[in-house]
Amino acid sequence: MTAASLPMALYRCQRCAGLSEKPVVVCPSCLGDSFTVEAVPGTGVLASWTTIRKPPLAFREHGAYDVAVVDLTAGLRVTGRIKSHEIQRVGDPVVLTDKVNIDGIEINIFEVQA
Amino acid sequence: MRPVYISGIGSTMFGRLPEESIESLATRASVQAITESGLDREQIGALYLGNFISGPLNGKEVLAGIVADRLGLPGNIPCTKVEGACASGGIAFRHAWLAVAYGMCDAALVVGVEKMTHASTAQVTSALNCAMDNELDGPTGLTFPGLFGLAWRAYHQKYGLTREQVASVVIKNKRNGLRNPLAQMGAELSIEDIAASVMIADPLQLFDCCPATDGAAALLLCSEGLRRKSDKQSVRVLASVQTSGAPQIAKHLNLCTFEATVRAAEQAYAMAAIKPAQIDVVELHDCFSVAEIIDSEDLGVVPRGEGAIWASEGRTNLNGDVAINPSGGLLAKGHPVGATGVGQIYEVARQLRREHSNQVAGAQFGLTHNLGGTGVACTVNILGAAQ
Repeated sequence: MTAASLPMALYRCQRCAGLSEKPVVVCPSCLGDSFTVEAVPGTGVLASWTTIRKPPLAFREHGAYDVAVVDLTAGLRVTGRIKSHEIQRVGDPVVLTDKVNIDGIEINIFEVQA
Repeated sequence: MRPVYISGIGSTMFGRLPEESIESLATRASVQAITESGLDREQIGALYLGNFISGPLNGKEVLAGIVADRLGLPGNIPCTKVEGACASGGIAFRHAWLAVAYGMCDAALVVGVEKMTHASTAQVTSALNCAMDNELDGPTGLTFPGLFGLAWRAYHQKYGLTREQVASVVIKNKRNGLRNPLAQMGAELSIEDIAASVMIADPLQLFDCCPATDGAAALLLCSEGLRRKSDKQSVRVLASVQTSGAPQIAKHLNLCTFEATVRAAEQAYAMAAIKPAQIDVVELHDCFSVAEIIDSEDLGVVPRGEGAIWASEGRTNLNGDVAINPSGGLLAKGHPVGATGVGQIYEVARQLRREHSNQVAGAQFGLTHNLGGTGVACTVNILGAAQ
């Protein structure tokens, strides 16, 4: 079954076209301070993943959870949570299927694409 | 730049030391270093103290000035607490070296200290997570064991890596720790023991992780002129380099290497004018078992992609091609975070003075490697036996 993919909103520097995952004061590449929000496909491949079984205090209620590094098709590497039960290996295609707000910060939830 | 020598060394035990305050630990190690150097306290021109989380775990700051006061150091000398996560001690050492090398003073005291074991695992994990980019990586719930779980899987994908190969690092370091009287948890472990330990951040298990530790280490650095007054064999600092790297996981485009380590090592070899193959003994930042495999390659003492093979073939054992972590490393000696970088130099100094309990025969050159955060801060030092 193929999970439905949500779009991702990234920040593109208007001066050098560099991408950032979150709002930044200035573009670290060129110090440009003007950005446009750009919707890109929430698709990519898995660069690595792990299961956190000893969380810090702030996440103790979450139990064990899975964190992944994802290389987006749009050309940016990001971190997020992943539903890991279907993971086979690094390089698996993944899609963004959900976003959750934890303490005011939006976290991307990925799933492996069948 | 003038030559700098380590003329006195000191260290507490590394372990669970509930009866000692953080100030007492730092003071105790410092007294040993000062006494051994034979210098008068009035000759010390600066103090650099490496510490990471005395604020969140002990509610104590301005430790540099407090420890100088406990030691009765001359009034008004600059006393600086240095923070660079797990590299805090290494950075403190480099600043003391800079002060002496460039003539700001003729002798400088460096001390690293941490006190952690009174706190719960969740509290320690939270405090250590202060060294993460908490606008990007932190919100996902990533932890430092998690970072090295990610690195393990990426390394496996690129080079191949078995549970047995990684366990060989743990077995070696735990065994080395048994012969280090300062070590927190030396042990004789089997692959079965390691494979049966609880999972922490897949595929990292409990024995793949360094413990929380209390402890302090100190060094007295001095110029050539003051070295002659010392009655102990001194050690020369041939290179001291500090670099920085990406503070976010996503900016490490290759999870099988730390750019900060690679650059620091390159610069250190150039400064010392020696080749990696000349290094006899290495104390590197094995915060997790797989980190030793990556670090050994980043430092150039093991070929790229062969760190796990060298470890499993015994080539990094005490009598191997290059002795890595004969102290037991962070895995067995312990990791009192701010003290670790200073403790590594203490260990290599003992090797070069030919007085280590795990002595590497004929050691002439030693290297220390201290890595902070997600590779955001790194120091590499090369030390030589003084003539």
